[in-house]
Amino acid sequence: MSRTVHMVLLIGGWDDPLLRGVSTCLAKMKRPTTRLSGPGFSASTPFAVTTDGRRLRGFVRVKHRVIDLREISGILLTSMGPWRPRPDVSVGDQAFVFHETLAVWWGILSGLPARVLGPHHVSSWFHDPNYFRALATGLARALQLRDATAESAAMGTAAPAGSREAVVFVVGDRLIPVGPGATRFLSRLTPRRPALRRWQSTQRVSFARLEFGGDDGGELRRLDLSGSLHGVSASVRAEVAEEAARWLAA
Amino acid sequence: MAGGVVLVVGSGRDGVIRAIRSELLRRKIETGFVDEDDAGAYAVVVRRSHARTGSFNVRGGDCVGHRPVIGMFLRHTHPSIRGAPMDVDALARLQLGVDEVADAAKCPVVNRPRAAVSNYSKFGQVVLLARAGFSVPRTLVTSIPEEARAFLERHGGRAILKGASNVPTLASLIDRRWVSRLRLVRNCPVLLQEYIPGDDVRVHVIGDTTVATRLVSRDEDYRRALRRDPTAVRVEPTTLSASLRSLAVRVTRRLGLMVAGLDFKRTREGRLVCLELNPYPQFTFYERAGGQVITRKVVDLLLAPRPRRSVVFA
Repeated sequence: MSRTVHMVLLIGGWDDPLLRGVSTCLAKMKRPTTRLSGPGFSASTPFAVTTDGRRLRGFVRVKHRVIDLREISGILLTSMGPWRPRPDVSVGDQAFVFHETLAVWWGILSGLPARVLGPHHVSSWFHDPNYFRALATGLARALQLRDATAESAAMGTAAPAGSREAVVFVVGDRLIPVGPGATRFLSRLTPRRPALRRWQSTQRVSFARLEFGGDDGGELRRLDLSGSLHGVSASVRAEVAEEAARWLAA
Repeated sequence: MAGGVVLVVGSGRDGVIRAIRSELLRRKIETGFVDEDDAGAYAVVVRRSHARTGSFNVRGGDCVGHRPVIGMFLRHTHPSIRGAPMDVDALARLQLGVDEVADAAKCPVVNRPRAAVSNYSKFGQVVLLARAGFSVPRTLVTSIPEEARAFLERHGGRAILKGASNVPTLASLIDRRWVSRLRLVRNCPVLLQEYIPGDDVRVHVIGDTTVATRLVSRDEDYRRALRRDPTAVRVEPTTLSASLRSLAVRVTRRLGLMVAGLDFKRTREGRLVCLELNPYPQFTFYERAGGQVITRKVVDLLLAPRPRRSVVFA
């Protein structure tokens, strides 16, 4: 049986502007989508997946609809937020269920031959702060910037784009500048594009919100893999969502 | 040794940590030991410098913070395997700091936590091992009881049930008597694998070399048998084909690991089926019971090659 549906899975809450925007764009492109609502999607979405190692076969069940994994060609992962298993079991059991559930879902999504936009390294799923630390350090080195991300987490709500900051969204191969300093910064970034691409490829980062600052514009201040659209204009939101949808649908 | 120390991090009660320290002592190698059983007594000081990684000073116990580290051996303890009350927050802080040190260190590190992440998802690891070229068991993950039951039936009413994450669990052989309990998978997904009867083979990869050990047990998880009776498992050296040795070394290296423990089942036809890869193998048991040399080879790895410039001091 042929399975050429090319569906995009949208994982996250409907209150996420990126997810809403991408969903709208994909609808205009007549690309089928299915939303798994976060943060508890992993526990509330029944699934069965088998593998002989080389390929995955199986399905997820969303509202009584069975979606064959072969139909999925793209996955958007937005910030999933905190999730805890049912509270009527011991803390130890909750921790076990948490780890088992996320480990299984990560294994499924990472094993699919689908484009994934969003944080999909296993360390990001388990909120490993050293992963984000190392990621930011590596990016700063690649772009020859000072790493000023220090203790700031790479996930979560980003600060609004201020007058001294440059915000740049990375969507696949495209850079989308935001804010007064961003265009100036982009010209500075241009010679480092090959290094940025190498970093993206090595770290499998297809989507990020980068914030730069400092008097000379030479500081990487924030790296946000969930691509928060907080503090940016409606037109930028639309542009980022459109580019993300196009990348997912490619 | 003039010019540097080997930093060992873990619990002083861990047999692997004790073996490594004792081998370093035997060779008169200067060491710094971070005892995670006393986590509050240690500190990792980070000095950052622009885009560079920065430098790290590990202090506490016999770590004085200024001797260059030429090798790191790391095997974290876990609160659940502590026998006594402990400062969980201090342990978490220390481990986080040590992991950052291990990520940044330019010297040999056995093993970098960043390279060990395939262990987070056993299902993801099965796919990874198969795509690398190993034969693996047919595997199901599900949260639907009927699918779990159907998998059991498809495999003759027997299957292996094991944990899907890096939380330590023992594998169990389940059969049709478990059918009613499989309704519980709605609460927590399960990982089931086809049951492969046969002996276990543990392969330790140490740099470019391998050490293979055969384990004969009546229990499907020989670790359970050992808990009941330390003599219940026959342990002996075994051999691997050159292609499998080479594959094990390649996969370990590709993951960024210097040492790994790969678990196999040897089928009746002699085929080796890979079950999983352990980035922090408990190798002293196999060394002792199988009469094979592992610790010395691990220490050899830690001591060569020398780093050009140390960024870690202890």
